[in-house]
Amino acid sequence: MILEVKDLSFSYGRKETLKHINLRVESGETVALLGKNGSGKSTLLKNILHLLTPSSGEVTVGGMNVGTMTIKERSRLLSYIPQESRNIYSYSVLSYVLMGVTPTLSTLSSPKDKDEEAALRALDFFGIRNLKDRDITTLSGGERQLVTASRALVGGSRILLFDEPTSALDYGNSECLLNLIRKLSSDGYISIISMHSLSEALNTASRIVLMKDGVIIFSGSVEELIKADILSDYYNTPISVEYYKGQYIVLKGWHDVVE
Amino acid sequence: MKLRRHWLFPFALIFIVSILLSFQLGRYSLSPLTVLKGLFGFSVSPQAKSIIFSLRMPRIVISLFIGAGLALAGLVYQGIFQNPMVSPDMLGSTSGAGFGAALAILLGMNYFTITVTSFLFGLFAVAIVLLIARNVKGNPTLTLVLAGMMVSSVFSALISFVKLIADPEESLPQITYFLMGSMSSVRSEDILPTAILITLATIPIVIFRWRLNVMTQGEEEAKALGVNTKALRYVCIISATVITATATSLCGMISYVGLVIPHLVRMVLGCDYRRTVPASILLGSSFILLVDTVSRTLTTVELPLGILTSLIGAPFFLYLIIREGRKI
Repeated sequence: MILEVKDLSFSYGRKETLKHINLRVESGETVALLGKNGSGKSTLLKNILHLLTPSSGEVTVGGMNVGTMTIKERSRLLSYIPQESRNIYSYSVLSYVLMGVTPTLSTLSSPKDKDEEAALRALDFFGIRNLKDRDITTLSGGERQLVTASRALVGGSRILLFDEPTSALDYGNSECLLNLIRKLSSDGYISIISMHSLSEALNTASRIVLMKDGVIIFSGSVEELIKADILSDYYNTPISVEYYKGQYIVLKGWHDVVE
Repeated sequence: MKLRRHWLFPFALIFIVSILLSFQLGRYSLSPLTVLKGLFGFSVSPQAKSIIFSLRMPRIVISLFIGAGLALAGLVYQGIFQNPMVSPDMLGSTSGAGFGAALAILLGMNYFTITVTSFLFGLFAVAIVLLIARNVKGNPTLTLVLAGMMVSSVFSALISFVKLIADPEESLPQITYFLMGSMSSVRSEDILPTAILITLATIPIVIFRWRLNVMTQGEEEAKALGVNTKALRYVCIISATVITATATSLCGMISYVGLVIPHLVRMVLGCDYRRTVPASILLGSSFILLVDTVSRTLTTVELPLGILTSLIGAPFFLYLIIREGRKI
């Protein structure tokens, strides 16, 4: 399966927020969208999902235009894990995850036993079956993010779009979620993750996309990003990346200290 | 998800007991046995038969439909607007229907015309709201709420104006009494149109009850989960409007049912619409039925229903908030 974003632009009123975005992502790839606040990362995710309608360009999955699909067809292909899920009502975790099967249901039907089993399997995948009877409004930020990720998985779509999934998580929960995203990639899922942490991006993604003012200024592998040596200029602070014991380590302000 | 059915049992029990009590109690009380014999076609005195079928049956049937409808309309609005404090009159249907009735009474129209005018004005008020919301860009939920508040207040002002110019001897007391809400004027001819309208409006809500769960997650998430939020919102608003306009045109303004009943149901059964929809139908019916029974038995002069629902509903709602805190 291939997801393609072709010459996509988007405007909020008169302000052009995304400018001629091109991106091609294949099965098994994990793409980290990096960029400063307001660079257009979340807007790009919402345009891919067609939660926002692009002013020009198109998004295709397997050659089919996402923009011409019905809401239901689209949601079968693409799953969204928002930064913060809105939970006013006290649903149980199992009911909440079960909402993820909605794209697979016919318009008039409700979830069946097999859907409940699928929801439990999704909870198992993230190791949180023990939470199934908990009230969703009582969960910690980390637990809630894992539950929302479970909900995205249960609908069966193979393309997952995460909007800053680790922003509210502690180190342990972040690592747990990112490990599971790596596992999903090895199972052939496409993950596109908007994130701020450079270190998490480098150690999770197979491709880094760097955005600035609604434009992609870099798209390539982690090695290519390090070779291009553009991070210090981009973030306006000295940044170097070291590879140590199988991990990328980001050193901020390191040059100053050495000098 | 497997839902065991016994959760509905207490609500069904309350429903049946409410119906029996309502047939039994009144200025002329009947024994439970007489009520059951009469209802199941066994021989009872002509007087008892007349009380059961001519006097109490129309009120009871209409109370059941209106109570069920108002509770359901509140439940639906609380879901699609992602706000547990919302009531079914939020988009102006009640004040629109109230104005329609007041205007028709002012113009000296007959009972049938008052009801139809009131119903049409209820629909008209919400149509204005939808038209405004359709032409404003931005958050659709917020736009609807603001347009609803605006239209509602315009129709409330118009009601005040009609009252101001109404004849203080004849039409003003009639308008005031109608707006306070009462089942006293309902007739057996009202049963069929009420049953048809409220049943038709309830069908889509029952069908889409699972999707209403998803709607509580907000516009973006519901869309990402495959729900056509715009279409569902319109279907729900039209259904709820038909229900509230029907209720107001027949019985005046009855508040708190759409607010209190869904809360109570959620506290007992949780938030899943697959459970709360049938339970709200049963509990809403029972509530209006019991309040109407109280209103016609408590004092020699029949108390308006709207006064009683507010007197019972408001403190009870406060109690629920205090007891359950944020889990409303």
